[in-house]
Amino acid sequence: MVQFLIGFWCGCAASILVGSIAFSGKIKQYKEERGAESKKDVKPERTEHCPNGTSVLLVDDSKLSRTVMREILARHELDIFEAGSGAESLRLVKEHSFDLIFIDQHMPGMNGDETLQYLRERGGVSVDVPVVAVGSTVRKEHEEAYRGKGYAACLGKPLQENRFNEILARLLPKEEKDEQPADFSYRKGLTNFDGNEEVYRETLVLFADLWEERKEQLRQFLEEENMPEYAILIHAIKGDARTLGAEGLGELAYAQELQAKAEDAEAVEKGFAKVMSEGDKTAKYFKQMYS
Amino acid sequence: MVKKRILAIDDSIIALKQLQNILEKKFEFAGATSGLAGLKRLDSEPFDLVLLDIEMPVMDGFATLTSIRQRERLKDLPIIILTGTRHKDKVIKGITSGVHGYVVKPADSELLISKIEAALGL
Repeated sequence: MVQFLIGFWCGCAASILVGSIAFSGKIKQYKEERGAESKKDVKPERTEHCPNGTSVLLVDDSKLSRTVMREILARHELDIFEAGSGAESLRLVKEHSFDLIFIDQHMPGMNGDETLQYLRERGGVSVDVPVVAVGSTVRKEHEEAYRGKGYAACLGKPLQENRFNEILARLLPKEEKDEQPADFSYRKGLTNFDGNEEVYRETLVLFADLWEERKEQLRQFLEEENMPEYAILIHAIKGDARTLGAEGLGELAYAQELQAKAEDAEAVEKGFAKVMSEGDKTAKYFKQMYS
Repeated sequence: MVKKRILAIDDSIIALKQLQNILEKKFEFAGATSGLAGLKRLDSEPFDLVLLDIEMPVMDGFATLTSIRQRERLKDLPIIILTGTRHKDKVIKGITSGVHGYVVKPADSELLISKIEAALGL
């Protein structure tokens, strides 16, 4: 079992191991090197899968906690900023735009929820920027409740490697941005599954698994100019795409459905390549991201 | 209390999976991927309500609805149709064909559950 013990989160001193890396020395080094509370990290050790310039903000009153988090994030090519309080985070969001924000729930002054509200309302942080609630009393099973408060995910302390990586994989922007399905919203799709991520992800993969067969059927119906059957299948694809939050594919499929219902095989043929290409991209993305 | 049994008939297994996720906490859920498969289940098992997709291959929702109503045992079975957002004509046809309501897909969980409960008199 991979050692991933981060016992510092609550301020208790212990040896910290991530993989085989001893953290205690590193933390000491960080403490010596870093004076100011917030600063930009410009180093990444190696590139993982984020586009250049991806920025993450860590809001936590514990410098040690921020340092531990920073170390874990080091394997991603990220610009990492730190704030020691909600007020300080507000200043940072006014100066920089962030792709992901972690907020500790238990801070003196403004707590996590107040900080989130502050950042959204006064800092202009868009609802599209995912924010993760972090805290020693936070559990994965609280995620639905945190979602209701506007967070994209929640993360307990001490950190668990799998959970942490799962959240990063889900929320960090991906390098192949142009390969993402058009107008795909994970959060919107998840809403249709009442926030049940396990079932939602299974269903995303199921869509991908069904795609090749459906594509072949559509091709066959088009060749036969069987527009009624084409309309029924593309209707189902449209519904599935929308259910899963893939609005781009849903709209293309809807246009095809209307053409097929009007028995306009020529128009269907004209738009066929586009909808197939979007379907390919969507299926590939779902498979890669959620398998 | 014994859970009410709901049969969803929809040619998309993705739609069925979504419905199952929404409904299985409160109801006993079963799915069928065609009108014919749905009728077979209705003939062999008791259900309290049917959720019926309209646009399905071979036997569409209206044909399935007609077949259900032709069965004496099922003539009063509550049926809610599932339809796309832009299919007003289908909704009107459904309502005039004796269904108990309609839900726009993708189904909103609270709305769907409230409509089911209303149809079941819960």
